[in-house]
Amino acid sequence: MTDYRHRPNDLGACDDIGDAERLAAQQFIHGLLAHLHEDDPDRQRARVVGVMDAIRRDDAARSRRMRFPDWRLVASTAAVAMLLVTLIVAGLQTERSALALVRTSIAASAAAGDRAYEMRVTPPGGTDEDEILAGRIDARNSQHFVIDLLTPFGHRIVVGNDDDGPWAIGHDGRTQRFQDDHPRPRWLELSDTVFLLDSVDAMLERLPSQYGLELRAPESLPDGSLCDRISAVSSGPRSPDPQRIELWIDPDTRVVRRMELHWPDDGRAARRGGSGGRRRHADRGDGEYSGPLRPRRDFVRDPNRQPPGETADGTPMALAAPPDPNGLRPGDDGPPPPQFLDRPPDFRGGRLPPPRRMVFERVTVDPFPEGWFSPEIHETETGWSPEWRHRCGDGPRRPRPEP
Amino acid sequence: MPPPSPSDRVETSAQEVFEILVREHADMLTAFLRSLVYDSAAVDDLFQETMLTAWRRLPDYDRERPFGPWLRGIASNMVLQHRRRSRTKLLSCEPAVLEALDRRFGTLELVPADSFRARAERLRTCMERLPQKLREVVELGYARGLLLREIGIALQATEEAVKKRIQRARDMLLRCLSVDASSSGEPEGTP
Repeated sequence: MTDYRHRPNDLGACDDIGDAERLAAQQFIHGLLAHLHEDDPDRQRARVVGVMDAIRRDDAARSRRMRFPDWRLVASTAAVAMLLVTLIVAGLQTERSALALVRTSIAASAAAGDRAYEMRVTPPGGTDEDEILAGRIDARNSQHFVIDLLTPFGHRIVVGNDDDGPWAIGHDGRTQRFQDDHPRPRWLELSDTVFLLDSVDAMLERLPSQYGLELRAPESLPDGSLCDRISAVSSGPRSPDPQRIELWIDPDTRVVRRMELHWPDDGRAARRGGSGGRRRHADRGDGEYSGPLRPRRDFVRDPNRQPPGETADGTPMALAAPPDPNGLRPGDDGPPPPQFLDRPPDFRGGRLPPPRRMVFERVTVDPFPEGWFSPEIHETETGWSPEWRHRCGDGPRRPRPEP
Repeated sequence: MPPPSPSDRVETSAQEVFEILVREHADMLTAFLRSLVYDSAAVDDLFQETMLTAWRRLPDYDRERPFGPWLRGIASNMVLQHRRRSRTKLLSCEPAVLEALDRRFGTLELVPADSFRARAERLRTCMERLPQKLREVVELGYARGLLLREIGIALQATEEAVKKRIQRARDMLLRCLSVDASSSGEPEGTP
């Protein structure tokens, strides 16, 4: 097969057009057409890498040519300082570009098709080692998504959005639909923290209006892929939403590969005693799990509610969670089940702090089957194998759906 | 190995920031060079020389002005130098043409879109609106990389006829792109 890439093309020739404007117009379209057909993203990336290599080589050679160490230090520091000032000013463009990149990413996400993100949570006051795998977000766009999470104490919560609007399946397996006058809650209260229940796409769409954006230097993910980086800091009045959001965006598809939500640690978690992560309970104070947990004193059980894991006639529900290695089941004398909050939490004066960090990381999935974003399929689909639940580690959470 | 000096660290951050600028303007610069140079290998060389020169001359960059036109100015000088030292055939790069070309690219940068590539991609939609005869020559020339003579053989037309068709196609594409920009609420901008 002929490689036309390095073949001089004569298509731009317009010798018989004398007028400079017309000539420029012809060459302009020629340049765009040639660029569109010959310069794919790989080639552009190679050009950028080539330029940066050349710059590093050039800088190294220029440094070697400087004979006098003192002069070299003064001159190079001054020159570099000037460069940085210039680049910061040129950064006015990068600020615009950060917004452009986020907008591109929003558009790309809307057209990217089926995606999934694993959700990892670092509890309040916790360290990176306390991070747990809490759930998964399946998304097609901002209007079609499913957030399926399992709390550290075995309660399963699923929320989503389909053609008929938002819905949620509570820890008791009951499905609820929400309307405009009663929107789907964005917050879920656990025993020791309050989770944000938003899709990656929805968070992304909030960025341009609610956050100040900064374009950072490209950064690699652990798998080695180089991503565009955006740092977003909340610019509005203090709200329970994350104070800072970090984004890793695929430079080719412009789709988010990783999103980190950060809340400030005001020390309340530490005062409550322990990180509150899996196997830990903030109310115990020692941070270690060593036996059945008692309900919080301020938790009052609804006497009319069915026991978790059972339907009204007492038969086990499809979603009934098996006991964990410590014998705890949802509804045992463990922590209270998760509750949706009808209003945003007040992290300044509220009882519970936000998590320290939530991370959404893209994972590979096949296209989702018909009806995946509606609640019906998730009412019977448990997805969480006991082994996986207890490990809360890697591996697929549910069999890949057939396309 | 000695630890990096403060100067080294600052220089590294400057390079990282410059890399962002390079990536952001890579598509625009490549398209600009392709509107002046036929040969892809020459485009690669000129791209690198332009960016390297921009890096060296950054202290001269007027901070009040946008980065894109400054980069195109350097690229224009590089193309002129290339013409002097090389026998590679170039497209017209007379000063008046270079100025008009720069204005065209400047106008394209005003079109609301998320990237230069996204703006350029509008041409694909415009190509679909071309009459069959014109779309055919554009596809043979740009997608399949055929020379005028080869397109003529494929279409059983003279080289001159093919050339005229491509020119007409480009005129129509330019109008389509300008109308597209106008309908997006942006000025057509080009005289």
